[in-house]
Amino acid sequence: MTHSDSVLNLGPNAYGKPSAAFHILRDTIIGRERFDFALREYARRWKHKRPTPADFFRTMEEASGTDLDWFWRGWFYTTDHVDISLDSIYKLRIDTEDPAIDLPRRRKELADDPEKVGVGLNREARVPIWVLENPGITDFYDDNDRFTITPKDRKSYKEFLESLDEPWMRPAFDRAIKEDANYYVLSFSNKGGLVMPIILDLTFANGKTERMMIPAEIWRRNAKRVSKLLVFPKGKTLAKVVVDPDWETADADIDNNHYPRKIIESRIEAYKAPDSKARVNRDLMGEVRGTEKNEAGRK
Amino acid sequence: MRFLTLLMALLLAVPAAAHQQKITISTVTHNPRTEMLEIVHRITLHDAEHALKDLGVTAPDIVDDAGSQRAFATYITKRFSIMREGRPVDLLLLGSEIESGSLFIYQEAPSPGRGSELRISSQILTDISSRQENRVNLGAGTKVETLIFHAGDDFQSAILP
Repeated sequence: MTHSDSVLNLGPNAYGKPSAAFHILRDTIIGRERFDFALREYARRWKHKRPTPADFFRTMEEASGTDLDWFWRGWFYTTDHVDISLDSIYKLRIDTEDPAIDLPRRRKELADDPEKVGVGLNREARVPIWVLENPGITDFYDDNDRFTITPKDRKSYKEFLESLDEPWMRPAFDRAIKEDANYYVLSFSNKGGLVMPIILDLTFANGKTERMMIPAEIWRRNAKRVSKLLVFPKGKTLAKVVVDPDWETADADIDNNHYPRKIIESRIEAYKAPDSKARVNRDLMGEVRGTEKNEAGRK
Repeated sequence: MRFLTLLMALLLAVPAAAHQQKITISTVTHNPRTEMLEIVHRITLHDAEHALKDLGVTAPDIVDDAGSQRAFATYITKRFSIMREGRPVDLLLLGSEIESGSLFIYQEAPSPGRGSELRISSQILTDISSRQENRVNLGAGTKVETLIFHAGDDFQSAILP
């Protein structure tokens, strides 16, 4: 905190930044009702007195009933900025441990992998395949792959089920298998340094969207890197995630807010795009009234 | 008493936005998609109009008068230069637009590529106000290097990120 006589760039630092901070606090973090109540309470408690910044911070926290230490610290005691990046999303699925289900499932996953280039080239070049040319020479490994169920697999499945010896374990495991939910792990990094709530716009494969707000407390144990587990019922598949879709947390770099990533035009690219100026620089009111000449020069 | 009231009213009537910033922020970035060096100058309209007043324009109107906006943009580009390997880079003035109380002026040139050394000078409005401070940000988003220029400062070197 710098005394106002010594503030460099008084305009942005004393007007622009606090204004942005209070708008975010009021509209996004604690809500208008509690913010307005707390600000009134601050004015009432401190009228005719000489409050210091700490008096303001304390009163706002107490009257709104919110722990805002992280907010004052980031916005008023550091020069950090907000830039939260959504780095990656992993999709997880619970294994049933049952070889009769898991192994065919993994075989199917492997079948979706691209074919090996060499195999495709050999087919094109009609390279003869030895086992097909000589029917008598096939063995066990031509009829079985690595996902063939063996007695050893069945035995370890049985042992696994027996290892669930607490009474709650088996029902919990059975329920998780039955639900077969979609688990997603979202990894975020805090590139700007200032901790803020993470606001997410989740778009699902069926086109439906959901809004989610993760409070700033998620950064409590690690202010640089966090991950969040989201669980959705079977069939509800995540397709796209956007951080801070309404640009309400002052995130300075929106390039890393989209997953999958999206190309964001630079200011100059947007300015050069043919339709960027078309409507902004037009005399829309004149056109509506019919007093503005159109492109052909007629009214 | 009436005089005192008037004086009070005048004193209170100075709105917060009446502060001149006396800061111009220029951003120099390499655009990997277009392989261009993109330069955006941002100056508050308030500063720009005061500068024009100081230059003798009685009622400057950058917002509605396209001519004075263009003239001001041309002035800005004359006070900003980039040198590369001892030669000035020819920066093309693309145009200007107004957004949220600021005038944005756009320039570009073929980019020498990431990691190349540039020598930059920003003397925008320093001929009008000695308090003027010009900032040149290299790069965009979170990783930004800033050069600060005051009246009379020489070229400063920076690596294009």
